[in-house]
Amino acid sequence: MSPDDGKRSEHALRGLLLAALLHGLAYLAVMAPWMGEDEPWHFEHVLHVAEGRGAYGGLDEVRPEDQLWASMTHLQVMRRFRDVDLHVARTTQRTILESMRRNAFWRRVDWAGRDDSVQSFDRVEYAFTTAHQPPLYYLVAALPVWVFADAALEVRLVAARCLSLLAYLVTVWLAWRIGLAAFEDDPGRAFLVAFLVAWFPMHARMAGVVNNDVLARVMTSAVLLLSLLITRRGTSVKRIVVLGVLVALGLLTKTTAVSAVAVAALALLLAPGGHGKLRRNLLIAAVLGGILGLGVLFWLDSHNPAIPHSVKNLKMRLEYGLSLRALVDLRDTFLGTFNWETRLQPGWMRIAFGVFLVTAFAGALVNVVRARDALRRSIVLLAGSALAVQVALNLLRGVGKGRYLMPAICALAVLVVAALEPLGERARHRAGLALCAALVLYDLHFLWLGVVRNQYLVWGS
Amino acid sequence: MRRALGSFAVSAGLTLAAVAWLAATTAPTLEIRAQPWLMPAGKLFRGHPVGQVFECTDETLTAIDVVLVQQGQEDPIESVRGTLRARGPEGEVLREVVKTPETRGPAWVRFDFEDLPDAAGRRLCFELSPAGEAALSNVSAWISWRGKLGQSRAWGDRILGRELAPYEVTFRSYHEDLSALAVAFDGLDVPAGECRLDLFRGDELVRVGRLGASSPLAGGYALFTFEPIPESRWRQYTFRLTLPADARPVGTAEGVSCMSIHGSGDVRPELVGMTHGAARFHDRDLVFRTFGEQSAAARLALLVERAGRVRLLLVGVLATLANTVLLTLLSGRRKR
Repeated sequence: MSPDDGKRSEHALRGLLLAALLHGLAYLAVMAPWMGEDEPWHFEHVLHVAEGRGAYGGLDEVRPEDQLWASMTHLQVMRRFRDVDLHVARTTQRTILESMRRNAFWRRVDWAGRDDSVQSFDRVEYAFTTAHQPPLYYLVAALPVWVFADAALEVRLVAARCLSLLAYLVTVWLAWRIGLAAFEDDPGRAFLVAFLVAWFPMHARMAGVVNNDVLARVMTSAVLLLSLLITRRGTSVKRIVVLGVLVALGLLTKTTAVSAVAVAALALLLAPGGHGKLRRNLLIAAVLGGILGLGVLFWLDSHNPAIPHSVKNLKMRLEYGLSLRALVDLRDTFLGTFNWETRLQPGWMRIAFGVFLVTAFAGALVNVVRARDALRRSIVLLAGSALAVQVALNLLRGVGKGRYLMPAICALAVLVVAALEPLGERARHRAGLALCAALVLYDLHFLWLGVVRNQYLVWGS
Repeated sequence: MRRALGSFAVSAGLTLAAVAWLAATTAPTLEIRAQPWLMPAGKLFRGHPVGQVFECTDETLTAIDVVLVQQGQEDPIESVRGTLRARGPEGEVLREVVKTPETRGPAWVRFDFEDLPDAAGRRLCFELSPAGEAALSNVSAWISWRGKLGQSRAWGDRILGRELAPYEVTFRSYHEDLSALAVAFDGLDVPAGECRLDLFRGDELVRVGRLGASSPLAGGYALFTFEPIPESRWRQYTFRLTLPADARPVGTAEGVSCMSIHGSGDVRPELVGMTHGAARFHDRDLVFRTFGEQSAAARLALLVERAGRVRLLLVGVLATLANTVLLTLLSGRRKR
């Protein structure tokens, strides 16, 4: 890259980050309180941490019959936090429920029932909690909430949401770096990768909600970037140590980040001379396996429902996960759902998106087959694997939720841009611009006809 | 600079177009959105219409949608009569429409009628009944309970014989305020005899559940309601049914299909409640929605009221600026 190109590239990056900041702020402004999926539960967790309650060391054991004196969701919190007694658990949930009532939660979320006089989260969703979640996100999100300790609850919610905005911007920056790493430092294609990540509305919307997915996505994107660099430039002690730390941080954030382990392991295999350094790579793989094992043990111990606890449960998850229904749900919730996944985009739009995805994957596959150099093939393979593992995790868990694919959003963007590679340069440029125009228009439709309409116009009675 | 101004003009135009599109879309004024739809009200009997009383919020009422399902996979889809009355089930008929659903459903079915002017604030009742001469239609509407559904046993695959009476079910209540139990029936001739649900805790009779309606029921849930039990969470209960001799409860090998219901919930005052025959219920509603003549300006005013002027302006300005920066960047790239 010439100095002029470098300057233009930096200028484009700064411009895109400014656009992404404004875009993220628009979603931060439009999202009504508690309209992020599971947001009341995530915020309850953040609140306990921000108010200095010690995680771990609560009740030794929760027996089903304890529900005679406390609701299940109170017990789940008391099991996790050392200094939370029934009064604190109740008061915290009631404060949040009161804010949910003030902000018309029950008129927007169609599955939540119609009774807004409830006094515990159990009456919204029985036995649901985030108390089992790994701690990293909550420790970080608690900081801005702690700073605004005396402010109204909704202000503290916005403070926690600001972390999501920051995570969104970091992801866009990482996407840019990933684009450069994947496409031979070409700023044009790097711009397209970062733009797709910044403007895909279901992803941008996460800039305005409290959820540990946002930090998990940062970790997996960082692992993908480092993995691409390792694939291109080879391993070094520093890269491997950083990779291990990022993978561990991902596991400490959310189970969905477990895909980072597979991406990191594949990068070590694909690294130049990777096959020749078999012993060393095996050792590294063992270390990664160890980190993963510790993560799984931790998740099991914290009653994480993402981990199946019986063969029957695993079978039940697989039955759904391997059905066509799961893939359709995954497509629909990835394209766009509103009000806690209760309202979908129109049918024609979902079909068009399915066709687009199939075309993109086919294009990426053609690119892998026709790529002249092994490096290009490896890079597309790495991005494809990151996405495939993320999809597989979703289906193995027995859910079809698009937001659980977000840790692989950068990988998906790389694949879409790679799918344009077989076209000639001019056609590729035009296709890129058409993609940008289509996404800008879809984003506007999503924002006004989707988010605004569903959150503020169509209310249940 | 010219490029940026041009981008701004395009972005602002796109935002305004999106807002105009939003304002042009129709939206129901009253709507029961609670999902999933779990509780069919049962087939429509002549002389026992299923309906909803509500206070109209539209100046001019133009249509009412109801969720309908055609029971029985073999039978042709049957027509349904929708009757709009003043005040309640005994009020004068204001409008009447016969409609044949396009699908077996469950799906929203629209009853378009001649506009009803000066409707705002009026108490109205919308009723459903069989359209033809038959005493019974295979079409069913859906009930939305105002409280929270607790445990449920899915609609079963068999009709339970008389030898299983009193159809005893033992269950643990997951929530407090147990207030009703819904039991699935293929057929229940309510006028033919006593219909009662006795709820026991251990050997102690704690509540007696009644239907509160005297209309026959087929292919739907009978709701046995009682005074809520505040301390019901995690307590074990048993219910036994007293039913007329020819009652046909639906169930599985496990027993009768049923759902527990907790609390009774507050809803908008415009929703007066559901009707079934002569009975009126204030703890449930028909799954329905109303449409009126509403201008784009009125919809925008509603948006401003709910979202706040500042929020909407902020979102519009930020989205426009974001697209302006983006389009400026893209147009610059194209030039080079």
